[in-house]
Amino acid sequence: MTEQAKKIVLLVEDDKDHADIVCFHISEYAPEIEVVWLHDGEAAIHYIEEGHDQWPWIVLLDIKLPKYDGHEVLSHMKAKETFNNIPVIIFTTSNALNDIEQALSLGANSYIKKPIKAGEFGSVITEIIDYWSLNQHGILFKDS
Amino acid sequence: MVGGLKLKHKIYAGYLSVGFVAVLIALVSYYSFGNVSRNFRHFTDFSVKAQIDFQLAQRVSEMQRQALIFTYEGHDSAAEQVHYLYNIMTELIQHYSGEELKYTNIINIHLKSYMAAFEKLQQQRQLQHTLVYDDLRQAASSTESHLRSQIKQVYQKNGDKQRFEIQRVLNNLLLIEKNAMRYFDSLDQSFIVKVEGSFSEVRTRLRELHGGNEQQDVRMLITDIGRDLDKYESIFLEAVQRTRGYLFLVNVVMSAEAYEALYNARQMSDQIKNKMADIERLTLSTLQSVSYIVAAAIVVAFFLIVLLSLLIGRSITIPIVRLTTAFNTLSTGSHQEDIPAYNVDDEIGDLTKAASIFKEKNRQTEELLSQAKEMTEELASNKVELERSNDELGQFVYTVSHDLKSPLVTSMGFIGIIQKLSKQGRLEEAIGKLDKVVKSNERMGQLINDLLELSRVGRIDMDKVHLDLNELLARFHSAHSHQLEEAGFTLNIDANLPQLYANESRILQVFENLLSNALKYASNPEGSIISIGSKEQEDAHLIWFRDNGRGIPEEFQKKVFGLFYRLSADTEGTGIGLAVAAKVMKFHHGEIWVESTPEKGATFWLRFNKHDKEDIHD
Repeated sequence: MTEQAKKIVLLVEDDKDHADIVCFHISEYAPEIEVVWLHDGEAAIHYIEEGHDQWPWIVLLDIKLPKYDGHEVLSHMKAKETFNNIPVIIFTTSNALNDIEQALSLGANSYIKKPIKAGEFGSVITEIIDYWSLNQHGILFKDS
Repeated sequence: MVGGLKLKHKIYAGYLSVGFVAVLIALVSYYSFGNVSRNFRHFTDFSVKAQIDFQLAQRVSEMQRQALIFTYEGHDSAAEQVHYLYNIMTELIQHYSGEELKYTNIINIHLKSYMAAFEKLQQQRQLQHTLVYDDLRQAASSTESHLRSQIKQVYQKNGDKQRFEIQRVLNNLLLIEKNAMRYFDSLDQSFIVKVEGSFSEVRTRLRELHGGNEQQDVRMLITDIGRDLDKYESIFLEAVQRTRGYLFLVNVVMSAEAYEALYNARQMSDQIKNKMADIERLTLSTLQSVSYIVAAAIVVAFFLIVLLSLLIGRSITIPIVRLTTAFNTLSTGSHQEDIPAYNVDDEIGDLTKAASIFKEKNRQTEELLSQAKEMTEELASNKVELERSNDELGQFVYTVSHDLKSPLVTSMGFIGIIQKLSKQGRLEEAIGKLDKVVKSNERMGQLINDLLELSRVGRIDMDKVHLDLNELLARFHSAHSHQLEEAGFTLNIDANLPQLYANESRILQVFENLLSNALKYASNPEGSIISIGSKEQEDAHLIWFRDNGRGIPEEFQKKVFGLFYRLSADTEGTGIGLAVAAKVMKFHHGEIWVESTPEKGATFWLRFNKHDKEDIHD
């Protein structure tokens, strides 16, 4: 990957309003990041299966999705070699520990609970960027 | 024959019959042997009579012998013996009676005649004795003495020649006496001839002497001697006559009488023997028939007892064998086995009652078992149902919390953005976002309304009625005709839809939700058509609702009935409509499912059980 490479965040979220909010915050904190928004599980799986010039450096994944839910999407990602190094942050309204634990056991790296305050979201984005940098330097996910 | 008797009575009957038969045999034997013993007594009587008869015959012979002894010997003891025997015999004769009297009377007459003859014999004997030993000797000695005196005279006159002649006559006279005595002693006839010869010789000599002698006195003497001699001879002849008379009595009359008596005795003996033979024959035949009767009675009794025993035995064993079979079957827990009928109040009757109780217990046990099984199954299904309900509830809470939170999250998100924009002074942008907040709140209101509706299903307005689906759907069609026209859909409803026992408003709601679903997802550029029809099954009415839209892929066909599940995020709606439809069908004890081939439309099936008349409140 080059320095000129776009910083892509893959957002899988069925609620357009939620997606809008996330996009707003990302653009506020890191305008250089491009958000790819997919509105259901089926589209996400399609995206995973297709070839891309540039892979996203992080995935924000909602659990409750039409057609295929977040867990199914996550399983697909981890099954795909090109995708299994990409960190996944679960982004959900669910309070159920089950959902989060299941996602972590399937290979998710972290999670954010909705609703999220503007300030909090900033630190999350910073964290995402840090993740990305570490990944760039081959510190994280070296062997996974 | 013995089936209706109590068990102990059957056994008593068996004993009684054996006893009865034994008594019968004893009676027959007693009667028969009574006959035999009576015959035996008769036989003994006749035997005694035969013995007496024998004695009688013996005595007759003995008497005759004694009579002969008396005749020849003249012993008085023999005569006494005869009398004694006669007395014994008359006594013996007293023993007879009945038919024998005929003979004994004759015997008696003959015996009497015999005795009369014997008494006569005794007299004759006495007379003869006197004649011989008194008169005859006197005549002999008188003749001899005349002769001797002659001898003396002759001797004196005529010398020795005449003396010698007379001596010879004397010798002959002595010879006569001697031979006469011999005759009477021996009763030998030859001596009579000798005596007669001697007499005639004596006469010849006396005539010679009479002729040759001229002397008158001598001649006179000889004539006297001749007279003596005549007298002598006549006495001798009389004695002979008498002797012959009593000999005749003894040998002819008495022996004839004795013979007659003996003959009759024998006749009587023969008769007695015949009678004894008759009795013997009778006794033998009686004994034989007794043995036959007793043997036959025993055989008949044996077969009767065997038959009775078999009858009684069978009447006891057959019910017991049947009961054993029944008990064996009952012991396997069955209650189908028929208990053999037995209406007598005895031990087998008790067993039969016990078997019936056993059967009833088996039946109750099986009933209890099946009840327990049903209850267990019910419990198990209740448990499954409960677990499912629990899961559903968990899912429901999860889904509701997520989906209700979603508009809240949206509102909060936009409010955060508005705050941020406001701080930066970007008021135009901030006001622009307010609309999002309003919409989000409206959506939340909608969601809450839909959830309330869902919770009403099965709780409120669940009264069922018989409703005519044709009429209901006609109203449905006209109510939504404007909506359908706007969306460009055609609705075709088949005629002859069934009558349902259901809640009208809820069924209407199901069709409204299906329609709303179809309008959202099933539009077809070539003309959207919805059709409703029905199909009859044996126990259910099936109603189908078909569109010609894009269809639903197989993997989503079950998910679509889940709460808040939407096939597309783009479309309007809360994702509650099909969940409500499913819940309504569940409360009607029915079912909803979808069949679909992608790009060829989807068919929703509603099943109503025909026999469902229960109201469900769970």
